[in-house]
Amino acid sequence: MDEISSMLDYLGIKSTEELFSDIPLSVRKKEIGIGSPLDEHLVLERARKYASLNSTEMLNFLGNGIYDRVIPEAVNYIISKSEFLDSYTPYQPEVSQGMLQSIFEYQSLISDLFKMDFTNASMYDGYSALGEAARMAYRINGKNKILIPESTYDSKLSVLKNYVWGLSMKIEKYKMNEEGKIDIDDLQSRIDGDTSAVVVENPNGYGVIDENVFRISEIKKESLLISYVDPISLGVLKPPGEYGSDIAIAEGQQLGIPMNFGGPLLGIMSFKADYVRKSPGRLIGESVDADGKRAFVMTLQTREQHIRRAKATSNICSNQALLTLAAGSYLSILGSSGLKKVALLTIKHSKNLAESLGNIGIEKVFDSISFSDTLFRIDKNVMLDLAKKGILGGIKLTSLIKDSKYSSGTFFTATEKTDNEKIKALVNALEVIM
Amino acid sequence: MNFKQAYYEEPIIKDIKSSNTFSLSEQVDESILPENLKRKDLELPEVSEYDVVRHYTRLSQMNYTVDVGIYPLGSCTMKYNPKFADRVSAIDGFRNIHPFQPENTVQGALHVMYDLQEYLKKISDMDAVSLQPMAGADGEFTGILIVKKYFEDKGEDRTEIIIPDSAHGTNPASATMGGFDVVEVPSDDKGMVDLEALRAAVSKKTAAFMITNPNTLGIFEQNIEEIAKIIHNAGALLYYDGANLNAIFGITSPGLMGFDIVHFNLHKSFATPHGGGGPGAGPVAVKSFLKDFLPVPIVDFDGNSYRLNYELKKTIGKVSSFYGSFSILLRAWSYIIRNGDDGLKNVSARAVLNSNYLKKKLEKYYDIPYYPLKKHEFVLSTENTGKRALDIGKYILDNGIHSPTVYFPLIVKEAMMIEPTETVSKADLDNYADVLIEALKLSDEELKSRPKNTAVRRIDEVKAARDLKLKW
Repeated sequence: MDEISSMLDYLGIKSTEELFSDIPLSVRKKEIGIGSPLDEHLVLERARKYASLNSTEMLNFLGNGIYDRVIPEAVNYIISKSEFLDSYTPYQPEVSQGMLQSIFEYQSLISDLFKMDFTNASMYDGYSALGEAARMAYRINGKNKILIPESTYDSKLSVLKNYVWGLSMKIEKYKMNEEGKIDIDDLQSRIDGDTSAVVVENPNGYGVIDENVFRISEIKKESLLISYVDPISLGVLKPPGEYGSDIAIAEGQQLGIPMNFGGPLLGIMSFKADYVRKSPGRLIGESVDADGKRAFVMTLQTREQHIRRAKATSNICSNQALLTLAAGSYLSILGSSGLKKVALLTIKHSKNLAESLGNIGIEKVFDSISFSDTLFRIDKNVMLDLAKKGILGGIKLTSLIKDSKYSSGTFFTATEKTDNEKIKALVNALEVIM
Repeated sequence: MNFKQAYYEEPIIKDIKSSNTFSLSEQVDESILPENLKRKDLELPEVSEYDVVRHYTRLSQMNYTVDVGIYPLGSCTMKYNPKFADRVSAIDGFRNIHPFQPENTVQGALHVMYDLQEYLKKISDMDAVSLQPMAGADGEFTGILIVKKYFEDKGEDRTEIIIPDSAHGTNPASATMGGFDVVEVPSDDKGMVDLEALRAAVSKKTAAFMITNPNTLGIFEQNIEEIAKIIHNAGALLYYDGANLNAIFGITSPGLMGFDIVHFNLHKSFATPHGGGGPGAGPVAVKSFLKDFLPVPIVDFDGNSYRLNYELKKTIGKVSSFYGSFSILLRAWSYIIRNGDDGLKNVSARAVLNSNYLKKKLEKYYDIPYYPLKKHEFVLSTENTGKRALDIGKYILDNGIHSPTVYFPLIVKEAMMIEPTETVSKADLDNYADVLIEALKLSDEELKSRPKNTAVRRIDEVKAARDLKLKW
């Protein structure tokens, strides 16, 4: 007897249909309508066919949140190991020490990189991490206003709005100056007794490295400082912990995660130790086992939804654990020297890009140092023409910030992969198009 | 099975001493950056790639996985994931595309997303789908925002979300995030929503009722049509938590049951390795009258090409950066076409058969409360045995099987929540039952000494919380 028959036999029923007898006939479904099963090799054939309709061989000058960076093959190898890839949330820590230690190491690596006290391991992406940071600020001080730079992209603002909608928090934009940096006077005039947090970005939405963020802690009064940073840039730029950030957040895709058409991503969130009990998401702590051996375990779970339900600090359940492993192994392989090199090459290539475009009369919008996204004055929409020539790039600032005053602003992005040969190809293409 | 998990005295990565082997040959001068912007010190480890790989390989051997053995815990559907789904998501043409690429350079990706939207509509009998939410709970939050915007648009001030006491913890947490007050309704003696209590809870303040069906006790809410009537008569919306959808593929659907909003947990119901906790994907589907409220973009097809549609009139906007967890969407898409109608229906049939078979094997030994016929999962209580669920769970680990979810749902004392899934054989179920029955023969002292075949033994969780060490 086959296993199904013998199980049916044991239950004393004739078919599995009888196990659904509690579902009223009035809500029964006739058929799904997907069709017949497809053999595995045919699924792969179909997938490869569709994948071939996507262009991946083009020169990539796109960025503004997702970046085409060098990923050591070992990172992909490590996250593909089935013991990481197909394990569950470590609710049973005794059999999950590998995952737990890897997350603990991620928390430590990011805390060191950001110079912050603690880091969680749960945010979906940078944008939702910003939303969670705003909610956390509200939990900390109960104030109702949050200030963000006018260079914040509409999509990021939209996510933030949704996250604070239920709290009725007000979001207010502050101005940027002619260098594309924070207008300190404008920001200062907006900070009042009801300001929960000031959000700063470095590099900011214009791609500019903004040293004015280093001065915000002096003017922020009782409000909290939330810094949104580029984790790669921290290989050379001052870390958020050094300029008084209370919460520091980032999009972690650049740390060993492929572009994947924009998802899944990794939201990074670090914060001061004082605020740990107000923080969202999961935390892994070190302890000992019954024999006194070092062991890791999920901790402060009493803040989480499965225990606190309506009073939880977030609703996070499935999260980005595997991607923390990618980021942890990426940072471990690059080390300080590797990350510094990647960051410096990014700045060098951005500079080369600006100089080369400058040579054909395409000027930068801001006379400031940019990290990877550089904003140029180009009235024409060049994106589709460039795509015909095998080049991806030329996002208009107005497609990211609809009512921006820099209507000619067009982005080209450089990473450590953007060498002179690629820049030359872009210059040649633009010369023809413009 | 004789089980023994590997243990290494593995140092943390920072304490591994070797030399960095990462290299990029192009030279760059540090003076490119002004001193005032520069960081002074950076203290990441400097380790060779081979030592990093060895480190993580040793860690991996101290980690249980569904590829080593069964993972029969409730409410999170840890089934074997077919390997072709991973292969699909690893194809270069899918991995290496940028979200801002012109639409004509990503037609294949948009095609897959469009097809997945269509499949999810068919499976759920709903009218429109947004693939954007990044996880199940993110889908819940999205659904709650849609509820909020819908009533704001209608000019109605509704402040409460009703939730059963057996619900997943994410439900009340998501409702609260949206600014609603949570009203809990109790279960009746059969483990279903108490209709009288529901009627009493519903009012002009009710915005929605959130429920999963089958519920977390593995019981199908047979009064679902009556529930829908009560909620709709009050002018409120009915929200379906899709966490347990894999129990009803092809048998019934949220749309047929009268739900207005659904989220899917693609990573549970279809195919995605669980990644030690994620990533997941939590698309949201709605009935047509709510389509305009969905997060944007959704994917449209005009007969020739696919495009991202941002033009939904009353959209809540965005809940994440781009278009959702694309690589997870790919896995779900490939799993759905691989299985087709018959395969998906078989998934449910076998999951429910496995659950009822195991339940029957255990019911002579453990108290299994509430309505007898279960769906994909069931909850037993160890209270009648005098043993603690936690202790039995630790003994199970020693036998090479992952423990059930313990102490959930909160309405069952000493709960163990078991979901075998469709990918567990009869032989594994028999063995699992034997282990659970054997556990009862052990003394309390013996049980408390478990586990001992695992990498580490029972961990001092109080110390972890008291002497908080979250960083090396």
